[in-house]
Amino acid sequence: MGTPAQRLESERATYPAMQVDEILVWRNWLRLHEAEYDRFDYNVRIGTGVDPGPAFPDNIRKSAIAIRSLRLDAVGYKAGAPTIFEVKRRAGPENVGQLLTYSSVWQAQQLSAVPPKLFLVASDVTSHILPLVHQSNIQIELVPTDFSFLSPFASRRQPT
Amino acid sequence: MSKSPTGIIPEALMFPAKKALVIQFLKELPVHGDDKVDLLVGWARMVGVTVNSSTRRAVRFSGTDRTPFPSPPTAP
Repeated sequence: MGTPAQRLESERATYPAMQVDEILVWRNWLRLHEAEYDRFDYNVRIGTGVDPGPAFPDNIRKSAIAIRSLRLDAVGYKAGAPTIFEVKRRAGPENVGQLLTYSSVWQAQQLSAVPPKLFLVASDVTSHILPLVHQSNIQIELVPTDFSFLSPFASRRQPT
Repeated sequence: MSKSPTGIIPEALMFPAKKALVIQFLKELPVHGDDKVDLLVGWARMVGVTVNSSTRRAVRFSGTDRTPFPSPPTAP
């Protein structure tokens, strides 16, 4: 019986910053909106990674550097203008903070000519964050998603 | 919180039976203890298992933020 990681192996390779449930949410969002963007970049790392030094084996060193940088779920481009996406099963306060942090670092590193737009994609949301989401000019979209594919009993089912 | 382990924890360890090796891998990583726990929980979600609090604590305490106890002074 395959684990969720095995059943979504190819999708995980495409969207490495996302958890398996987030991949399902993102796939549903893409079905609705993919054509609105020119392209998407995944696994985009920003910020400064900290190198633990050559005393560590190469694989450990690379992993440590990767963990200490910021990893964006997805960045979409429309006529050269970037949109940073955060994808969650249930969006909460920490995700607003994540997006604002990403935006700040992105602009500090001057990664684009225009500031990035921010977009929260989720299947559900903690309603308390909505006022701040709107104040912060974060776009949010809730995408109904069936997570039964992740059940251990769904291993023989095809993803929809 | 959990972090996606994809691209950080080796793909060969993305199986429930590799739990001990994942813990060993995380303990060796020179990063903050909370980051290690986020990765452990992310790994567990992906492979469909749970990790108990003692395992999380053991991984967290191997973090770079948990400095080892100083060695006792040696007698002259």
